[in-house]
Amino acid sequence: MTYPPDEFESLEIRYDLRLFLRLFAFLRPYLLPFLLVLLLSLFSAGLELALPYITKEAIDQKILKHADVISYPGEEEARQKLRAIPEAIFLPPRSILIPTGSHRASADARNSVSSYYLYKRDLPPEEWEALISKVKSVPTAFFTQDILVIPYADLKNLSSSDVWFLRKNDYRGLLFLSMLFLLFLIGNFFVNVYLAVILQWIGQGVIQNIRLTLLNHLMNLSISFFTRNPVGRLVTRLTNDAEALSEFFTLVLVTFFKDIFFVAGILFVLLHFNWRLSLWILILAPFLLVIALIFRAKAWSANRVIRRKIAEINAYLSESLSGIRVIKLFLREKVNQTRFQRLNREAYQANMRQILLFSSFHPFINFLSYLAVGLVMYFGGHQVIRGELTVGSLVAFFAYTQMFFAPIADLAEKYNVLQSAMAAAEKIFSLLDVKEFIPESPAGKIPEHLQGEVVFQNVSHTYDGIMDVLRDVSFRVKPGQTVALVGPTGAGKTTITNLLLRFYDPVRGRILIDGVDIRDIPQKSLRSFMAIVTQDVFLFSTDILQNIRLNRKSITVEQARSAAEAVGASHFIHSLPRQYDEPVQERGATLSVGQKQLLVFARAFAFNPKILILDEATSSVDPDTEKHIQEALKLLLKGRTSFVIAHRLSTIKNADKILVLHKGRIVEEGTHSSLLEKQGFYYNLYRLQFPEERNPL
Amino acid sequence: MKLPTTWKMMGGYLWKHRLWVLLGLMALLAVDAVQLLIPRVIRSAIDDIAVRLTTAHLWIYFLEILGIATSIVLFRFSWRFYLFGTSRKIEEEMRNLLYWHFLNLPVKFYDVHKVGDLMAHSTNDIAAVREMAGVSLIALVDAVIWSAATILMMFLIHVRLTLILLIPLPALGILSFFLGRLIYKRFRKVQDIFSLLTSKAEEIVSGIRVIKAYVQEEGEYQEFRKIHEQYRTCQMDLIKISGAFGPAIAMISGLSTTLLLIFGGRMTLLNQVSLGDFVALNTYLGFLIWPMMATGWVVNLYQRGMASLTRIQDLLSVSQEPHIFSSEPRADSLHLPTQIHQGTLDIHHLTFYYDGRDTPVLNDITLSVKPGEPLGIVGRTGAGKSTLVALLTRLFTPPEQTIFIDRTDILRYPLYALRSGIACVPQETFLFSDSVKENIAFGNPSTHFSEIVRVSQLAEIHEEILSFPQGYSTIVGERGLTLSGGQRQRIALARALLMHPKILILDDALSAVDSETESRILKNLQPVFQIATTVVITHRISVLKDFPHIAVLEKGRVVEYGDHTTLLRMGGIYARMFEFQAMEEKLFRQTLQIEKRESGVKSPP
Repeated sequence: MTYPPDEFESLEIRYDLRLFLRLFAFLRPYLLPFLLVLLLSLFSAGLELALPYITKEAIDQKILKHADVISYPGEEEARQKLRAIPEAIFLPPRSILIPTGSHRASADARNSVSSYYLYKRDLPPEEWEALISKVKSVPTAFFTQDILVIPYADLKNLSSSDVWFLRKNDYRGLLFLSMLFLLFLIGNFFVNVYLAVILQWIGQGVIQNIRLTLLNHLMNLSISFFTRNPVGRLVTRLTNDAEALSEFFTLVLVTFFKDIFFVAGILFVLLHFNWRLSLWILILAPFLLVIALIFRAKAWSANRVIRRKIAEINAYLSESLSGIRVIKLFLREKVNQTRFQRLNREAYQANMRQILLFSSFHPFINFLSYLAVGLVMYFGGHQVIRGELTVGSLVAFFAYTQMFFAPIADLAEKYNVLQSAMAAAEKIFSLLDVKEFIPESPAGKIPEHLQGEVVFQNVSHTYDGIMDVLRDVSFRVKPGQTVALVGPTGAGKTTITNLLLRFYDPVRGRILIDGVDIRDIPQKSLRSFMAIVTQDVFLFSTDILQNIRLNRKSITVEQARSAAEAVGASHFIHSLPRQYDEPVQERGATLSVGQKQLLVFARAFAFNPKILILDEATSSVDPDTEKHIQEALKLLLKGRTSFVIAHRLSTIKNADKILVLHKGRIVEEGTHSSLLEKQGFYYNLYRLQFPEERNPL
Repeated sequence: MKLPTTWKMMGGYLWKHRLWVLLGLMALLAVDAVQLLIPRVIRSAIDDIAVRLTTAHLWIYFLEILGIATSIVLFRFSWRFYLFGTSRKIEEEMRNLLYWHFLNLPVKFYDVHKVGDLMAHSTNDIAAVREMAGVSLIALVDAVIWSAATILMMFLIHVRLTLILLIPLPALGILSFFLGRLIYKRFRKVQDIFSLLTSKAEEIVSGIRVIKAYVQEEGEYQEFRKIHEQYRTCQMDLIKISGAFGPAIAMISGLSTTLLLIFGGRMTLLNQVSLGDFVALNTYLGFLIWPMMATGWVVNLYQRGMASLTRIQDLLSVSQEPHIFSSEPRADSLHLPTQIHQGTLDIHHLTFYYDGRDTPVLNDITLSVKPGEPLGIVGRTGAGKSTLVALLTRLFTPPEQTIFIDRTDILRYPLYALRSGIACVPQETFLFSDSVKENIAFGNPSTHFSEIVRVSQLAEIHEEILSFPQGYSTIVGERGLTLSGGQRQRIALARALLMHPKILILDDALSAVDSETESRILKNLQPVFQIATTVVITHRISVLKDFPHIAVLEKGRVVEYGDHTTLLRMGGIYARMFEFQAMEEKLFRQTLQIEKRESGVKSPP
C-alpha cells in the first residue's frame, strides 16, 4: 500500500521558501555589502583553516626535521631502491636515507625503518667541521659531505648546547612560522570584527526597513482593524517580532554561509592532504546527515508542541487575571490552581521531551567527531609509518576533524533561532498582507475655499453587519453652525463623528461637505479641514509645545503659544517648571483632567479647522477650571462648523441646533427652547441628566 | 554575611532538586574528566608514530578513544538531561507559585497593574531566571572545573612550559572583565532605546484616531524613524565591542598557541619535551577557549536572571488577601462564623474612600435587607453602586463595623465562609474559554448535570444552549462561540444561582436582556427571592416596580428610599428616571412601527 506524500510537510517547505524569498527582498538594497560579507567570511574561513596548516609546517619542517633510514640486507638491494627513489641518499654500507614527505619505497622494508634527524649542510666549512666533531661522539651518526643524520633517540646523548648548536637554524625557521601564525591570527581578528560590524549594519538596516514599512502599512489601515486588534499585539509585531527577525539576518544567515565555506574548505584541504584518510571521515557523513535530518523533523514537532503548550498557559493565565473577580467571588482559586498546574505540567513534559531530543543530538554528534578522531589516528598512524603521511599532517588532520564537526554540533541552537525568526516573519508578513483600507477615490477632489457646510443624506451604518447603529440619518448643517448631538449611550453620536472623519464609510447614504461627497476627497485632505477633541484626551510623550502643534510645521511656535493663550491654557503652562518645554510624562498622568482638556483645546485651536468635532468630557472638574473650559469652548466653536457630543448644559443651550438621537435615529431636532417646549424625549432626557435644574421651562 | 534574598530563593530551589543537580553535576564532571583524557591518548599515539615508529599499539588507542567517546555520550546526555531538566522544574514551580500568588492578591492590585505587564513577568522573567538556573549555572561550574582540570593536565605534561603558555590568560580575564562591563553598559543603552521605541509604537497604535484625525501619519513616521536611527546607532556601538569579544578571545588563545610554537617548539627541538607532549599541549590550549567564552556569557545571563528574579520577588512580596480559609487575626476570634446562616444584611453608616481620594465614593450609607424582601438600588453611572457590591463581597475591604451579615461584622468571616454564601452577578459578565457547562458550574464544579439544567431554565437560557452546536459542551469565549451580551448575562446568572446563595446580588445583571425575557426571569426567580436576601441593582426601573424597598443612590449617598409608589410621589430622581424610561419605551415602540411601515413600503406589491 502506498501513501500519498504528506501534504502538510510539503506545504510547510513551500511556505518556508516563500518566507525566505520575501525576506531576501528586504536584503536587496544591501546586496553589495552582503557580497562583501560573503567575501570576508570566505577570507576568515581561509585564515582559520591556515592556522593548523602552519602548525603542521612547524612540526614537519622544523621540529621533526625528519628522515627515515631503511636498511637492507645487502648493498645491492639498497642501491636498487635508491634508483627508484630520486630524493633518497645512499648511506654506506647498505642503507638509504629518505627525507620526510617522500613516499617510502615499499612495505617490505617497514621493519627495518628507523627515524633519523636530518641536517643538510648550509654552513661555512669551519663551522661544519665543528658540528661534525660534536656529533662524532655519537656512534650511530652518519655524515657525508653535506648531510648529517643522527638517530632521533640518540640526540639525547648530546649535550644540550650541542643540540642547540645543531638545531639553531630550525629554531629560526620555527620563529618565522610563529610570526606568520601571529600575523594570521591578528588578521583573522580584524576580519571577524569587521564582519560582525558590517553584518550588524546590514541586519539593523533591514530591520529598520521592515519596521518602518510595517508602521507605514499599519497607519494606513482603517480604524476598524484597530478596534479588532489589541494594542499589545500590534506593538509586539513592531517591536519584539521584528527583533526576532533581525537574528535571522545577523546570526543565521552569516553562520550559514560561513559554515558552508568552512566545511567546504576543510573538505578541500583534507582531500588535498590525503584523500584516503579523508574517506574515513567522509564515511561518517551519511550518519551525520541522517541524524541531522531526524533531528530536524523531531525538533520541529517538539517545538510546535511546546509553543502550543506555552500559548495555552498564557491564555489561561491572561484569562485568570482578567477574570480575577469572578474567580474570587466563586471561590475558584483551588480549582483554577489545579488546572493551571496541569497545563504547566504538560508544558514541562513537552519541554522535557525536547531536552531529551537535544540531549541526545549533541552527544551523538560528539561521538561521531571522536570516532573520526579515532579513525584518523588509527589509519593515519599506519600511513605515517608507511611514509604516506607526515606527522604534522596527522596533527593537522585532528584539528580539521574537530573543526568539521563543530558547525554541525551547533545546528540545534541555530535551528531554534531560525525557527523563532521564521515564526516572527510569518506574523509580520501576515500583518503586511492585511489590506483593510478605506478606499481612496480616483476623483481626488480637494475643495479650495471650504465653507464647511455638512449634509448627511439618508446615512445608515453598521459595524458588525447585524445591528444598525445609524438608521437613515439626514440633516444639514450650515457653515459655522454648532450642532449638539445628544442622546443616551449607544444612540449613535460617536458614529456620526466617525463617519464624518471617514474612519468608516457609511453602509448606505452619503455625506457631503460643500456639496462634495467626502468619499471623493482624499482622506488626508479631508481630515486636514477638521480637528477632533476626544473625551479621553490623548497626549503624546513629548513636550507641551509639541503636543499643541504636533508635527505640523506650518504652525509656528508663536501661533502655538497664542493658541494656548486664547483657550486659557497658558495659565497652567506658565506654572510648569519648563513651561512650553515641559515634558508630558506617561501620557499626561501628571496633569489634571481640566489641564489636559485645555491643552487639547489649544491643539484644536492652533490647527484652526473648518470643521470641529468635540466629545465633551463627562468627568467633573473644579469650578474655576470649569469656567476656563466654558470660555475656551465658546472661542473654539466660534466661526466653524462644529459637532459637539454635548454633556454640558451651557454647550447644549448655546448650540444652533440640537440633534436628539435614540437607537441610531434622529428623534427630535431643534433648538434647546423649542425642544423643551415640545416636552418630548429631549425634555425627559434633559430632566434626567440635569436634575439640579429645577424648572427647565 | 547576609545573603541576598534572590540567592536564598535560587539556593532553595536548587536544594530542593539536589538529587538531580548532583547527578547532573557529577555527569558533567565525568564528561570533563574523560574528555581530558583524549589529548593524552593522542600524545601516546604521536610519540609512538613519530619517535618510536611503531603502530603496534594504535588499535589500543583507537579502542580507548572509542571508549571515551561512548562514555562521553552517556555522561553528556545525563548532565544535559538532569541539569536542563532541573531548570525546567524550577520554571514550572515558579510559574505555579506566581499563579497562586496572583489568585490571592487583592482586587485592588489589579486596578493598578495591567494584565499585560503581569503576563510579561510570568513569561519573560521566569524564562530569564530559568536560563540563569540552567545554562549559566552549568556554564559556570563547567567553565571553572574544566579550565582547572585542563590546566592541571597541562602541568602534568610540563610545568614550566605550561606557565609560559598561560601568560596571556590574565590578559584575557582583564579584557573580558572590562569588555564585559562595557558591553553591559552599551547593552543597557540599547535596551533603554528599545523600550523608548516600544512606547512610541504603543503611542502610535493607541493614538491612531488622533493621529489620523490630525493627519499626523508622516510626522509620527518620522519620529519613529528618528528613534530607530538612534537605536541603530546604539546597536552599532554595541556590536563594535561585543562583536570584538569572540574574535579577541580567539586571538588571545591563539597567542598561547604562538607561545607554544616558540617555546614548546624550542623545547621539542632540544628534546626536553616529546612531540606527543607538544601536540597534547596544543589540544589542551584549544580546550581552554570554551571556558573563556563562557565567562562573558555567564555574566550576562546572570545579570539578566538576577534582575528578573528581583522583579519576581517584588511581585511575590505584595501582600496577599487573607487566605480564603483563614480568619482575620482578632482578639475575639473564638466564635468565628463558619458560614452564613440566614443572610440578613445590615449596612451601617458605611463611608468608603478609594486610596488617595479625598471625596468618598460611598457616604454614610445605612440600609438593611432581609430574606424575602428584596432591595432594589438605582442610580446613575458613578453613583457608587458597584463599589457597594465590591465591599459586600470583600473584594474591597470595608471599614470595621459597617457591614454586618447575620449581625456579625463581615470582616470576621473567613473569606471562604463569606463568599460561599454570597453569589453575585457582576455588571461585566466574564466567561471563561470553556464549555457552557463548565462555565455554569464554575463555582460548584462537582454539581449534577440536572442541577445545571435547572438553573439554566431559571435563567431562561436552557433552550438557547440546546441550540448551540454542541449544546452544553459548546466552548464559549475568546476561542469559541461568540455569545451575545444577553446570553452571556443569563449564563452568568445561572452560574450564580448554582451557588445556592444565602445572599444574591444582581448588579445590573440583565441590562442586555430584552425586557420581556427579563420579566420572565424575574418571575422564575421569585422563589429564590423568598429564601435568599436579594439586592438588585439596575438601570431599569420597570424591574423594581414590585420591590418593597428601593434605594436611590446619587453621588455616594442614599438620596431617596421607599417603594415604587412612594418614590414616584416624591417626584425626585426616581420619578424622572421612570418618566424618561417610559418615554424611551414609547419611542422604541414607535421605531418598531416605523420600521414595519418602511419594510411594508419596500416590499414588492
